[in-house]
Amino acid sequence: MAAMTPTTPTSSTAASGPAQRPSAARRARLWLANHFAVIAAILVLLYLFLPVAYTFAFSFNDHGRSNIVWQGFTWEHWQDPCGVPGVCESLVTSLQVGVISTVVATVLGTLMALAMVRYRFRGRSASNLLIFVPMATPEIVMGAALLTIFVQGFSNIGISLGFGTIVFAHIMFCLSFVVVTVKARLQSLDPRIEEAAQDLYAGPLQTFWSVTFPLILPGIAGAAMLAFSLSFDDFIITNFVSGNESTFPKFVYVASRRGIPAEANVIGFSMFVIAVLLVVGAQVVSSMRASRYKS
Amino acid sequence: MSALAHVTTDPAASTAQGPRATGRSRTAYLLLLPGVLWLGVFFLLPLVQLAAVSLQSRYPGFPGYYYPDLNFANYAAALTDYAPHFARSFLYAGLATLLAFLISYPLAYAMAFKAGRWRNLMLICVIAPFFTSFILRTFAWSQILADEGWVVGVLSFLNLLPGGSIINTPVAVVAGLTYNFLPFMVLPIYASLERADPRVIEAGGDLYANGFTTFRTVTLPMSMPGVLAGTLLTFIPAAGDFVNMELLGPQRGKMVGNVINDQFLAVPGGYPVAAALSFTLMAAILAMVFLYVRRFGTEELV
Amino acid sequence: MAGVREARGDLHLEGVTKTFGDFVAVDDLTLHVPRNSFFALLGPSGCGKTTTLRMVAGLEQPTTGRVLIGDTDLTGSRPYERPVNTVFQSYALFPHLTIRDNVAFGPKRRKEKDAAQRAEDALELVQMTQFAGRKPAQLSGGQQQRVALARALVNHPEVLLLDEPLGALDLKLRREMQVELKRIQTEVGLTFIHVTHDQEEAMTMADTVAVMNKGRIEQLGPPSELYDLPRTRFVANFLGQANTGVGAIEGIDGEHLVADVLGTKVKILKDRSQVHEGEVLFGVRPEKVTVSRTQPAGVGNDVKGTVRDVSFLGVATSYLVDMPSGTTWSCYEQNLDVEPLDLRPGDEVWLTWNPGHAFGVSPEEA
Repeated sequence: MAAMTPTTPTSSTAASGPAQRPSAARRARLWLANHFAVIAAILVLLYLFLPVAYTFAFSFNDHGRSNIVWQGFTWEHWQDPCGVPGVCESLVTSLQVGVISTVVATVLGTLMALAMVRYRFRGRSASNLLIFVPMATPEIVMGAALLTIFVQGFSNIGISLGFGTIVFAHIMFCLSFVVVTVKARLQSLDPRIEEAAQDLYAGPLQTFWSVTFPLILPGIAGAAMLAFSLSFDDFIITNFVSGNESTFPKFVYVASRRGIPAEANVIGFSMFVIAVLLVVGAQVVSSMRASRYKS
Repeated sequence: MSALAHVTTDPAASTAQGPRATGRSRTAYLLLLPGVLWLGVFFLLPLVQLAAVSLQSRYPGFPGYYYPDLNFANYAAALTDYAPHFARSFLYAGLATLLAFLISYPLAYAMAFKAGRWRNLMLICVIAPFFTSFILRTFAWSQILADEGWVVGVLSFLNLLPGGSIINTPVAVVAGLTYNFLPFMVLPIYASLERADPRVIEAGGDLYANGFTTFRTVTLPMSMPGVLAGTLLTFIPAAGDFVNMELLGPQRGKMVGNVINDQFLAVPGGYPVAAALSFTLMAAILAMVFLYVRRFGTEELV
Repeated sequence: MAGVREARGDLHLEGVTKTFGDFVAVDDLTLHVPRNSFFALLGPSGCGKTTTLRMVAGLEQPTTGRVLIGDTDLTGSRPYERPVNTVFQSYALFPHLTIRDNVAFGPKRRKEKDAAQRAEDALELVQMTQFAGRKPAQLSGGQQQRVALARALVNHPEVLLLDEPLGALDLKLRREMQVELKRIQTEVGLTFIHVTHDQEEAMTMADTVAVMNKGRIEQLGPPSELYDLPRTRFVANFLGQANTGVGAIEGIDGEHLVADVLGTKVKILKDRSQVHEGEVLFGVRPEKVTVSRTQPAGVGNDVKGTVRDVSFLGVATSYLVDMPSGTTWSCYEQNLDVEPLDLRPGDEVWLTWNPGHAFGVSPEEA
């Protein structure tokens, strides 16, 4: 950290003419102090990627019953990732749940964010609280609460644990995150731009579609990505409300008691690669656009 | 937790303007209605039901059957039988939060002030590992920290590991919790530092000369909103987690999340006590959150 | 013209009041702006001028009162239903649209068939044709300002509202745009309502200036009249500089009131004073005051002071003179004489003026 750099006499030596150079040990210490943040950051990034590297490496493990220790290299799991019963079915379920929850949560959350930012109304702070509290509630409590109502309440109206209840729950916990993300974007938008549209004969709907929506779209897209990743990776709540349905995280968790099959590593790592490529791709596209404006 | 939201949107768009009443409240209610209904039906109502269940009594001899009651003995049981579990949850989550803060701060600082054109790439690097499944990552830690692994090997060689093992100890649990919620700490701190003006820090350097004083009096206070959001976003899920304990921890000495999970899903007739445990956990966390926010807080947390 | 009200004629505000909670932003305002005039609303920030403008635009609704254009009552109608357009202070250009699409936005919403052509014409009027394909972020402040103007003008509104449109520009650009705006107003012949806190800007551009303070109009009239004969203490001080002093009216001498101000007897023409008995705030503009080393002949309308500061401005010399009462007067002397007065700080001087130039207002602030 530059701010943590201890005070040094370098500037005064520079000022006082041909002073002797600091000793090698001292220079090394200085260099370390100056670059502490960068070195620490690189180490932390390596630490962040360590489990990913393990996941990747063990996707090639020629394991027997349990995939915990390295036993030998094989391509086998990459050639047939669906080779283990249930793994691809659970992946498909996770993708379906993710897409549905993302779409619904993004739409509902965007509407809520619009109301919260653009309007003053009675019950605004109560709504704020209702949006905040789910984010401050541990997942296990939400899962437990949903389980009790699904089993003891909603079962009376014909809802039983399964795909539907997973989707209901995922929409619920994604919603708050969508609202705060879109809200941040909306708050950074000058309200006069919308007023200008109204002033130029655009009605409320026209104003929304021709001005507001295009301008908050990056925020909405970010919120949708966040919602999808939250949904796709959720285990704790899903575990409570899924009944016999299996999602990918649940499959992996159940399998972990015996040793996770390397096929799950293949799928997990592939999802990671796809996500990274998507994010990098989006970055490249947006920076290309930015440079086109400049020219 | 605006700080996190801030990261996921365009970081350039930070010239926030206060909300402005430009419309009529009827439209606002219509816009809110579906979302509020959803949260009402799938968040509030279940909590009410959970509260009801936490006071139910069991039919003797019929596990899995309950009748409505005002049985506060469930809470007594939750608090007496499982007090150590609560203590462990909060201790491990607290340690993990502290470690995550210590690990995150230099990274967030480097991203905000040192990264230059590498900034976006570093941001991707922070988020990317979390695109692999939570369970897979945790399981990878059980491989990394396994007795046969290189971590244990190196530490044993250096005589730094008296117990001879990391996996299946609380240390492994705290390590897993620290790792798993790290981005929730990095991103808000980064967002608040990124909004800070580096010239202010330089001015602090001019005024105090001592680097650590600058950090303590200028840099850290400027990032406090991010630190606040980060600690909450890390502590809350960590305190309720049971997966790290399940995959990395010892057989005995579980956390409260494990008890809730087992009572609901594995112990017949466990609902009322488990519900009482859940409610106590939520109440404890919400109380801590509100105290914490009041003590350190900014008004605009959401 | 889908949805836009047909309305032609003068703009009338009738008894318009706007309150936000306990705060009265605009207080029972009645105003008549003739068609095709250049009208300025001048006042300090928070005086209610922008709120008035927003009520004309339809962005705010009055708490009570009516807004009319010609005989058409527009009260309660939405911004997109009014034949009124606004140039916003921050320009509020659509950042995701090109300059061309920004300007064509209004005509397209009104389903005009020649929207594209009209946008081109409007851009030509403000000399921005060569930037049509760019995005707002690629333009300078002055260029954005022109686009904002074109985007409003292209709709041929019955009333064009300008909300501090030059506030963000530097001085030189501001001067240029003032001339330009005046030219365009004469050329297109629309009613312009210009909100500003800059008295010089209001005076150079507008036919009629209304000075607003605390939600009310203090005085309304042509700039020269407001300057020459302010009717309230606020206007006297807000519009240009005024040398003032408070004193008691002692009597009447023919056409004049006689008052004892600053230890001297001053005369004010009866019809140039708003009060005829009791306390009066006497005032005279700096350029109407003559500085001399000796007491001039004549009785009264002179006062002795000590020079504090002398600034040579080329065409004129400005003096700051400390009065015995503790106030400081400023005086402008045109540099007409071959031998100018060689005054230095500390010199004692006599200030005189023609009683016909003095004015009197109530010393109470409204």
